[in-house]
Amino acid sequence: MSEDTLSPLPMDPLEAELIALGRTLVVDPPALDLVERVLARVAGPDHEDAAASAALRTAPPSVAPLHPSRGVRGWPAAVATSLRAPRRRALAAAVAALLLVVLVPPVRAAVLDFFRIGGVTVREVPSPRGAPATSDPQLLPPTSPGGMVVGSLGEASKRVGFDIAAPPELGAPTTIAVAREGRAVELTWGTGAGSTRLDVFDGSLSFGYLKSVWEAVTPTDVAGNEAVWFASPHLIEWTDRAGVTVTSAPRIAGPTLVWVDRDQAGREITYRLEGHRTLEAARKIAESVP
Amino acid sequence: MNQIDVDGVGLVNHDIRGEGGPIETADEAMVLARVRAGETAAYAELVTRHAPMAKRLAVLSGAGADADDVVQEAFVKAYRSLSSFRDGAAFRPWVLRIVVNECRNLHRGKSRRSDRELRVVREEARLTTASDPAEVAVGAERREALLGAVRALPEQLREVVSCRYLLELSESETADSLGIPNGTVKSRLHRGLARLREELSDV
Repeated sequence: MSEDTLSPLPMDPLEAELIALGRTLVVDPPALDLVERVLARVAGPDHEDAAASAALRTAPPSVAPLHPSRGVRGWPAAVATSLRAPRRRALAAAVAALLLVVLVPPVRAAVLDFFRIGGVTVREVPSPRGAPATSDPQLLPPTSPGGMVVGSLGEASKRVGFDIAAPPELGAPTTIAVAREGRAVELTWGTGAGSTRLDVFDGSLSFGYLKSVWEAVTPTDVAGNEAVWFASPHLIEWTDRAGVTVTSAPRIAGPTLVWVDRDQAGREITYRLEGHRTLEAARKIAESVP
Repeated sequence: MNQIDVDGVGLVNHDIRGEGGPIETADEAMVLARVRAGETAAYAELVTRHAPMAKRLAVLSGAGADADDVVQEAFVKAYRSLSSFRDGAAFRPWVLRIVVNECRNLHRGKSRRSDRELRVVREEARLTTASDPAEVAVGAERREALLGAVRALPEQLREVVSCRYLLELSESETADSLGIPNGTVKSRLHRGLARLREELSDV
């Protein structure tokens, strides 16, 4: 890619102008649900989709109304034609949603539709094929934090603008990092398998985590505050509230406890603790946060 | 900051590139290997990485309101034909090629889509620093005229001009994305530029 990239110097003015034009073109970002739709389709049984496309292919519009005034022979073809790609997919989505509603027991449905806890938005997606087995969370240690490593909790608090408290239960964090453009603090204890990660951020901001889950989550509480336990691996990404601006590739997170609390100034702070296998263990840590 | 999980090991890339920037080839090969090993969820990384460029190309190719459908379809098709994907090849031109084909299919029997998905930003920050407001306005007008001229190009010329200049793909990436030899890219660019000059001189 080096020898044939556009060289800045001996360039035709029109070429330069076209490049400048390209940089001023604004295109809406990809659809919010693109990733999950693609995953759902590639993970789901191929034949459904293949059958739908095959049906379309066997009914080309050219064989349509041989007797348009009667419309009898034309009818199936016309229907097939009207089910062109976008609508066909909308239909597939509707069918998928219907299945989901039918398959999800009422109690789960009440919790799982699409909800928020603090700065975390949770939505249910179909299970991706090849998702890690629920029974083996050991395979999924939390990732190391990104961002800028700082020396103390006090410094981290200063940078993000709210008070950071760490659970004394875990001792001093191995790493304290200010991440997500100064919006979040990521604390880690240990590295690799067996490590623990705690993300703390102001849940009222426009950015937060989007979690896509395909297994049940458990509503719970941490010292009387609202909390949710994600026992199974799930996809997590950092996005704006509308889910439009995705700022990093989604990753798979292991069991996680999310809860909200208020800092001294009354700001709603969201905590995300990853790295403990059981709700009991995670809650014990969470409740030790002062 | 890019975080990539490889077999459960978190790798943090500490260089501060633009988010969604070009993924390292080695990283991408690892992600592809995970996808091939049956880890469907790893595919999410590839989709997230390349979707913005795919969407831009779809819109530039005239997909209009169908751009999101085209992009979705392209990533599904890319996944299904992973087996025919050559090891070590770049994923981006491959998925872009599917986008191009999907857009061509879309055009069959349909008139050119509207441009409403695409907006020209009238004044860039660097242009607003120009002292003469008239000059700024001329810049914006000129860009709109240029965009109009690009969109009026015949499909084959429009495609190379869009990939090479508007999306700033390299010559070989343009060739791969359009499924044509490098030499053809060169000759079509040449013709495309000549055509644009002609169009713009009439204005």
